[in-house]
Amino acid sequence: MEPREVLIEEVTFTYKDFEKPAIRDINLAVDRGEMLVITGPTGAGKSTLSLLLNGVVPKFLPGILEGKVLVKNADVAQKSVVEMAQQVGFVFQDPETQLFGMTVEEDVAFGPANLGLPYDEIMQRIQKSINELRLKGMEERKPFQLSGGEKQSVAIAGAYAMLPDIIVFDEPTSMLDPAGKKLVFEMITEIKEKHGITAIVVEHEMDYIAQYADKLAIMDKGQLALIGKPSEVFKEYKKLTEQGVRLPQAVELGAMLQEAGLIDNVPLTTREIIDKLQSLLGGKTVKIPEGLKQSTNPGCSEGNSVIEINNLSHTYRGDVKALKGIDLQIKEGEFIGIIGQNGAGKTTLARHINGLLRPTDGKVIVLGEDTKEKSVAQLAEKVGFVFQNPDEQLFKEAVKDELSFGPQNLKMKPEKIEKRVLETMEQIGLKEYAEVWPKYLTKGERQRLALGTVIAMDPDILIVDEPTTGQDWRESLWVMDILAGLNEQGKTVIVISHSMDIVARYCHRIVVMAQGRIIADDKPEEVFSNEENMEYAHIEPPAIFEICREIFGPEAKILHVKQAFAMLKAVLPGGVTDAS
Amino acid sequence: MLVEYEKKDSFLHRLDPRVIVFYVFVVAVTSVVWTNPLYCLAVFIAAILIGFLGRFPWREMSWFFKLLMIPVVLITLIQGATGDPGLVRMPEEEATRVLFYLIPGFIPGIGPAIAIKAGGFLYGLAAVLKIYMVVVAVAVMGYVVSPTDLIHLLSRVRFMPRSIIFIISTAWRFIPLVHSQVRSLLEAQKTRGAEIEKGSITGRVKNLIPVVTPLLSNALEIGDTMALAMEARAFGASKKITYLKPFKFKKVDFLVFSLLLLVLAVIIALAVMGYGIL
Repeated sequence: MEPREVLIEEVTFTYKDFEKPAIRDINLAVDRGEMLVITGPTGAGKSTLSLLLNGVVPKFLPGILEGKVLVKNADVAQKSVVEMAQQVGFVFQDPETQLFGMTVEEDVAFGPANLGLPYDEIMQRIQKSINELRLKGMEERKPFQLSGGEKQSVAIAGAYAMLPDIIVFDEPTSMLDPAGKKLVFEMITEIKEKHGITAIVVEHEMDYIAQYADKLAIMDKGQLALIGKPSEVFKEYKKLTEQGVRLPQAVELGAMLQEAGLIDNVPLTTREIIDKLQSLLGGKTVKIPEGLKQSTNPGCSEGNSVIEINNLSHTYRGDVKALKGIDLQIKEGEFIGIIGQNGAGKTTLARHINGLLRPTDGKVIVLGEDTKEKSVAQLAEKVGFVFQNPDEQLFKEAVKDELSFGPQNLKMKPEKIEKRVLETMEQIGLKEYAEVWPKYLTKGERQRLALGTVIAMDPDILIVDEPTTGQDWRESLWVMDILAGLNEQGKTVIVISHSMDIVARYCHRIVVMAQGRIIADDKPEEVFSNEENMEYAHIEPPAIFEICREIFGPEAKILHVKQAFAMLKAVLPGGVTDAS
Repeated sequence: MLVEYEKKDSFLHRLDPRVIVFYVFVVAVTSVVWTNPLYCLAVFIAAILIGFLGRFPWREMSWFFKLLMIPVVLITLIQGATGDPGLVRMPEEEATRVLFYLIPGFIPGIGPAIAIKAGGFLYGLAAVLKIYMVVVAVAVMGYVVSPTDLIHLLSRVRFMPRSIIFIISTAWRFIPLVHSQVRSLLEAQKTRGAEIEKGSITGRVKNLIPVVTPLLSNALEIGDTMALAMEARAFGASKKITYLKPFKFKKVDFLVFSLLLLVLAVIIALAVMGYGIL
């Protein structure tokens, strides 16, 4: 038998100065040319596990390692980091921290040049990597001017140019938009299939995992909770849900149907479940069963208008037209999602509402006042703005100081500030952390704190830029539930997001942007049914929406798995209607 | 940098980076040996014209020239008022001739006071032009030679440890990162109601204080990940790294280099003969 490409035996690792091990009792084997995806909540030990493979843990990040890590039958502990660098490539989450060249070509050459390879050999490798990663024609471009997906392709090319047997990807898509995520997964699959590269991917995006992974491992609290083929792992959907892992909607629906005895096994992908259901239903679209209401979405509110944007255009320095003639009206108490590809103008639009940007042309009226006449600080009392990256907006030494910064600027009375801070800490679930330095909080907690800094100021309008990016599913829902709670109290909430599941779940109205324009503005189910717009904006509706449309025809506008289940139960052979 | 490197197809971009570095050297030497403001002005203008050969975006630099007016005025006035006439090789009565008074005579009580004398004034003017021509030459170099090439050049200097070179090039990469972080942190303060655009200079500096801690801790974190990424790509594996672009002198490089050498010789010869010197 061929030796395993990667073999991890009884591994426990504890970082220096820590008492608790970061990972415990790990046993794992990966074969040549496989794609193993490791997923699980933040802090589960996924990154530590992946860094063992090139010896960075424990050689570079010291600690106590028990057990054995074998790559190609050789003990990693016996090899130098440099030797391992030629066997195990690495691609990290943030393109900014791993691109070293001034041009794409230079960056791809970084590794081979470090090895001191002959000039001709390096040029050959660059050529090969650039062709494989579809970067032809971009050799001379500056990496930081590329899109997120392209930057990650450069990072993969750089790893590939070392001609490794294995490439480890540590959350390679968490900073990308859906189009970028898809591109990265396609690239990984391609080099894996064409060149037998073994891919080990740490990832949160369940839809892609289900589609591309050969093997799936779920980690929780430093241990391997489950490992196997995705189909086997998803069979344990109950356990997965308990661990806070989000199931792909196709799997979620399939699991419900299987439990009800309507299908025999759980399909993995959207395509699979559609095929299965269609064959069960005789290959034709079925009518939506009567008596089952479609959507319960309250839709657009009838309240007073709080934001009026008229013919807004914005041109950045260097003649970049980011917004072209935006008209938008937002009413009190709405919960709005702004979606669209990176560069579509979502953040630029949002920054006009709190005055961080001023219109090049047109008008932005917030609560009856022209933003042109107000400073950002003056608008802050009414409009709260939460940026994407918590680390770039938290600057105080303790959680409670962070929360009182805003209210102090608003000149609230000390007693009131104290009350607001306590209330907010409760609301964002950080009650016990009043004196803690924000840097010591987990990623999810920092995101909630960033939200809290704005909640503490009690604004009428909240704008939140990608609150769930890079968060695990449980944290994502937590943040969104806080926002939903505020919305119920009457606050107007605007969320910018790449996650269609999130916006479909929470938003009452969706604004779709593409190339500086609003191309759709309606209830989520209406927005998703316009295929032409979706394609133009490079957006894919939630999987459940597509599944129902395939089964029930274009009239089906279903956003929730439970709804879809009720309908399918009524029409599938062997099912019964229990809704009346 | 004043204006960032841009890959373009221009005469200067096509030259070997070593020729460009030599050009900066020539300008630097000139700024030391010539002290006559007229001569310095000529070199300054020449340096600007040479920038056009590299399609240098002078318009983007206009803010810089405006900003530089402040030291020009200050240096010429201070030198004019206090300059030692002995610094200038001109007749005593010429050097001490009063050009004008900083506090003119029509101000009763104190005026006329603070005499601006020709010698010091000219000396100050030359000093300013000397700084300008070097700045302009360096800016053009930064625009036409890629930082990687500069670092490669540096790394060929014998006995230069590789770690030092890497520190320089990494610091270079950090500048835009730090810049965007400072901006984000200041914006976060604004959106939380801090009036950071108003107020006195000290007030504004105060607003920067809270930025320091997160900036440092973020930078450390980014640095950590960068180090991991470098390890993973075999940084430091081999003592000898391979250069992607082996520098090669072409015919035109020899020509320009010889021309620069000639210019340098002429400038020094003129200075020795007493031309270009006050």
